[in-house]
Amino acid sequence: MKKKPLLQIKNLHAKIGDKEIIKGLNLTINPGEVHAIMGPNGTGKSTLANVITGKEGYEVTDGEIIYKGKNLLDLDPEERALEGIFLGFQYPVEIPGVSMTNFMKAAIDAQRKYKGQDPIKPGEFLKMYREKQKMVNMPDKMKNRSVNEGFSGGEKKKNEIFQMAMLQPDLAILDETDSGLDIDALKAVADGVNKLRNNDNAFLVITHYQRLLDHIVPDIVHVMYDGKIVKTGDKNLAKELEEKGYAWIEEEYKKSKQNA
Amino acid sequence: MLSKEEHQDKVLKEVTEQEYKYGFQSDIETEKFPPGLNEEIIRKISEIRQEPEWVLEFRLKAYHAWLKMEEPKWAHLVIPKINFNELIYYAKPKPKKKLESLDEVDPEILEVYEKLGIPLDEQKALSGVAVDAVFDSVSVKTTFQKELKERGIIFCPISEAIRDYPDLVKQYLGSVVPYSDNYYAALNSAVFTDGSFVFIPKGVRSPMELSSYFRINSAGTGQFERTLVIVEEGGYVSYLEGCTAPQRDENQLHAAVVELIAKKDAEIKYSTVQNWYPGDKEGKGGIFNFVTKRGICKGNHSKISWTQVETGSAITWKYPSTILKGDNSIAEFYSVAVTNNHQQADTGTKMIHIGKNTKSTIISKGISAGKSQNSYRGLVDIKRGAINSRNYSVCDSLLMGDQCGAHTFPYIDVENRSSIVEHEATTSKISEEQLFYLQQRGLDEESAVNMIVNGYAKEVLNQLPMEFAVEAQKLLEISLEGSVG
Amino acid sequence: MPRTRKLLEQHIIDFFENTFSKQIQEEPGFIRKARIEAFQKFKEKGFPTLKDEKWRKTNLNRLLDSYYHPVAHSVIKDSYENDICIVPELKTKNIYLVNGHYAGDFQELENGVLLGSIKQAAGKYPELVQKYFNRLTEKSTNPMDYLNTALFTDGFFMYVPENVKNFNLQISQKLDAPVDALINTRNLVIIEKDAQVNIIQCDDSNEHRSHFATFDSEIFVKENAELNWYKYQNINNLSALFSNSFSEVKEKARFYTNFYQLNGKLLRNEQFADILGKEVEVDHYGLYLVDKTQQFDNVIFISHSSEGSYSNQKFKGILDDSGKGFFNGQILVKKDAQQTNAYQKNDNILLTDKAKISSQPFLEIYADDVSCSHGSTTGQLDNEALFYIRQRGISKRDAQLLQLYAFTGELIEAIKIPELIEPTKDLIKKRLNGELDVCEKCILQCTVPN
Repeated sequence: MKKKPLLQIKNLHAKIGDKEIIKGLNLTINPGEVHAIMGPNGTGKSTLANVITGKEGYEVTDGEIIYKGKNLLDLDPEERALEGIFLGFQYPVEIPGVSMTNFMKAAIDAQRKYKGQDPIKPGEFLKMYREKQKMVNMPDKMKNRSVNEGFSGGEKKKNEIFQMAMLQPDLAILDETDSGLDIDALKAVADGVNKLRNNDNAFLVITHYQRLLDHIVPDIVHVMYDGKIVKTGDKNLAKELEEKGYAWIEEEYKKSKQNA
Repeated sequence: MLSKEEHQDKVLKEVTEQEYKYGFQSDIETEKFPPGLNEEIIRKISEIRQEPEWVLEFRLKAYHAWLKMEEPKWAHLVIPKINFNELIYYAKPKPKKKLESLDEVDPEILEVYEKLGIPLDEQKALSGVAVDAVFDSVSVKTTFQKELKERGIIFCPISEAIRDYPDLVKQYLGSVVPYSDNYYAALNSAVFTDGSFVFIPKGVRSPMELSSYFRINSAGTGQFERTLVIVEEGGYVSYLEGCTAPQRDENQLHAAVVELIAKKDAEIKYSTVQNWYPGDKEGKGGIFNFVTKRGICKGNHSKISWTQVETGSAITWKYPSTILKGDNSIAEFYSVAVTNNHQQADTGTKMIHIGKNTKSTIISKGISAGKSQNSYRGLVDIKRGAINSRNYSVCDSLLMGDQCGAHTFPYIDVENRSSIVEHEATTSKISEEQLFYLQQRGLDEESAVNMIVNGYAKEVLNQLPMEFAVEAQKLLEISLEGSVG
Repeated sequence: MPRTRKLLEQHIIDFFENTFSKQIQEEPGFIRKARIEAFQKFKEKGFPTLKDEKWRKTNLNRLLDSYYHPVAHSVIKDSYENDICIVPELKTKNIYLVNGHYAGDFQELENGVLLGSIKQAAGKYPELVQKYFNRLTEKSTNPMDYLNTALFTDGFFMYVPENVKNFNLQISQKLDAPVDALINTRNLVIIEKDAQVNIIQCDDSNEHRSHFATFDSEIFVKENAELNWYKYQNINNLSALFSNSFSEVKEKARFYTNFYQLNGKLLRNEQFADILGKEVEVDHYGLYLVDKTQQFDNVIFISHSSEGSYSNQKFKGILDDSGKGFFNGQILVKKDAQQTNAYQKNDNILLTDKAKISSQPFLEIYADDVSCSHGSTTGQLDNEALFYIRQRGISKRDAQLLQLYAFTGELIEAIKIPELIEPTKDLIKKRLNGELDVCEKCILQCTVPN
């Protein structure tokens, strides 16, 4: 039986200020799939993640995003999150004074409230917290710190995966989660993702390099260029890009544009 | 020939043994008014300068406003009572005839400027500086007028501007600093005698630095010059002013007004090296430097940048300010203020943010030595409509010795939620470790201190045009002479 | 100048000359003398105006438009013994200050602590009171202090002898006048050598009356003694409270204040501390949460008169609606106060375009071997952080609250009495959430006298 798509993006156009960044993008993600979006810098990959999650400052000028059958663009960022969309940030922000545990408890409780459940019991919460920490190899001492404050680059990225494990999203978007990671941290991050993969959720992995995809094997690979997806293939496309770089994609794209 | 060491010693000796090297008097015949201030004197000033009626009116209005005003008392300064009726409000070198070229300037005046190292003569063309020299209250010579004129730039004494470009002057005089702004500005508006006028037309970038040198020479005179700089859309000018005065036992008053107007996309860089006579080691004599300087970023994307190196004057009361009216306009204030012996300085800036997305930066470095008092006083005022504005201020003080004072008085007012203002300040003395490090490398204490002080002030000195930076650096050293140990 | 200001000033002058001066005939001479001198100064100066340097941002006209009855000798209730005022698990003495009166008996405790009305103390221990009374306020040039000295009805006196440790006092100040009233409370605190004292104060009011209240305290902290003073101010939006404290802190002594300004039409706390010995520590911390048309001021002056001491000022504010804040902090390091460490920090968050903050962190330094710094920031909630939090499913409002609450964290961490931490957190959360009503079960869970 063919599953209903989790996310459908149709002819999406979006801009920041006067500058159009996304220029007619189409993408369909079904439950159970892992998609990778690759492409050179500045082609709109992070913008796509921000538009899906509802960050302020972006204006959608055309097209639509349907998520679980709902028009996603009508929802506030927190509503999208509560509907199961998680963004692993490229640059996780430091939030001084807000402790990790308080933050996660507030997030879990918001989710439970949304589902009509009571707040999580402290004991249960701490148990879950420890389990998920273990899963991503995060030392216990970090839970007393403020969100991302004083974390190293690797710790910040691990912390994103940890939060994903806590919140168990249906659609996780990982924005350049591999950038700045050493190989051990990269493995830990990939390991976390692989453990969370199942037939009901989906991942959208945004990356510049193929190395993360050695560890998180994608079902579908897209190449983004000039604000749209210009090529789609399987995991071998990622390998091809690794070998040949992005120049040929640009060539192909420019040629097709001329022909059109 | 001197060995390297001998040469260094000589330089060092020169630097350290100098007290106030600009403190000679010039024997130039001057024409002076009798002391005192009244309507009669003001009319006479106006008459002798053949001013149009509206200038006289401006003066008289200011004079009557002044009579009703009181001297500001909020500054951290002890100001001896000034008897304004004992001052001479007009003094000028007696001209033999109208001057056509530099050759005709009184050679004694030229000699004075030579001693001061001022590039007044045409040979200094290479250094690319056009100079307007104001001697006592009167502009004696402006260089490079012709070359500037070709580009439509007007750079002349304000007295000439009143005569030749009355509409321009009338439109802007008092538009940034109204005659009733404060006590000293009112006094200046009533009795100003000369100063410089700069007009940069639309789209023109001044090809050279424009410079004024101010010198008080006559005894018992006050100096009240008035500077007006207007830069039209897209224009640019870098303006320098330098000040010196001879050593005298009595205090002399300098109450100037500077107004800057920057239109859309225009930029004004205004640099001052102030080295009025600071008085002797016992605090006798010296200039009272009570100056009102204010610029307006009138148009969008305009920029005004103040840089000052204040080493002179017995008392300094001075707050070069910027009104950021145009959206996206930028203002900067870079200051080094050095006080030694009995000097007192209360100086800083005001940044008034009115336009949207306006940005200001304040970098202030105070250095106090001897028995001096050195205060930074600054206002950052972000009005409600100045959304997304930004100010960043750093005000550091360095204390040399335990007889002096270093003070910081910031006033920060914010009236909208989208602006960000940050102020930080530290007060410290020269680090023993740094000093020892340099001494261990063979520098004597005095040179080591000079080196550290220069490093401390570098951020500001770097803002100065090259010709001034060297002089400013020397001034710092001279000013601090004898403050070590 | 509005007529009403003049009228009120005249009322106060008439009241003193015609009525009050007769009521104080029985008072010890030194108090009467202080009152008359202060009154003369008030008569000359009147209330502060916008022209006064430290009042440029604080317009009293909006307070001086109604008539405040001087509540000279009205007693509300004979005894407050049945009123509970406790932080759970904290053993304390409790006292009540109601409309400028001290409610209760004079107590001479077993450990030697003297606690009671300042007027009674002046009768019982005239030499002790005379030695300290008005010694510090005398030098003030603030008209509010003239007013307080001239017209105070009563206040509390506390003397803690040498070596008494962990003495806890809870003060409940109630502004509970039946009519709009002028209330002046005067206090004197003497902490002898090596003693350690905690004061927890709660300022409350009834809901419907305008109070114009001054609350002056003179505080003497002797060698190696310690005083912690926590103050929670939560009065109605018609009332103004001017709390001025003057302290003298001797060698190795510690004086810490944590003041939380929560509600009131105008709250203004002025704290003057004089450091008179080595190794002294003075911390003045404050939080102001301002909304509606409230205005909260903090004017701090720390004078380092001796070498080798520490001081720290930390004030944080959140300003909502048309709220206004004023911070003027000054560090004075005198010539002989070498090796001084003095810090000052003022951080503000503005939540609307109608809110205003004026921040004046001043340094005045006459000694060279010092480490002094100050900083002031004004900004808003970090939008990146806001999005980050919302992306985890937390509502915008909760995300903002989380950030605001985090902003206040430093001032909770500064609390040295463990039992106070949770109630303070609670109070701040409630206030940020708009759930804190005047005299709704406040932090100290005290009851309002009927």
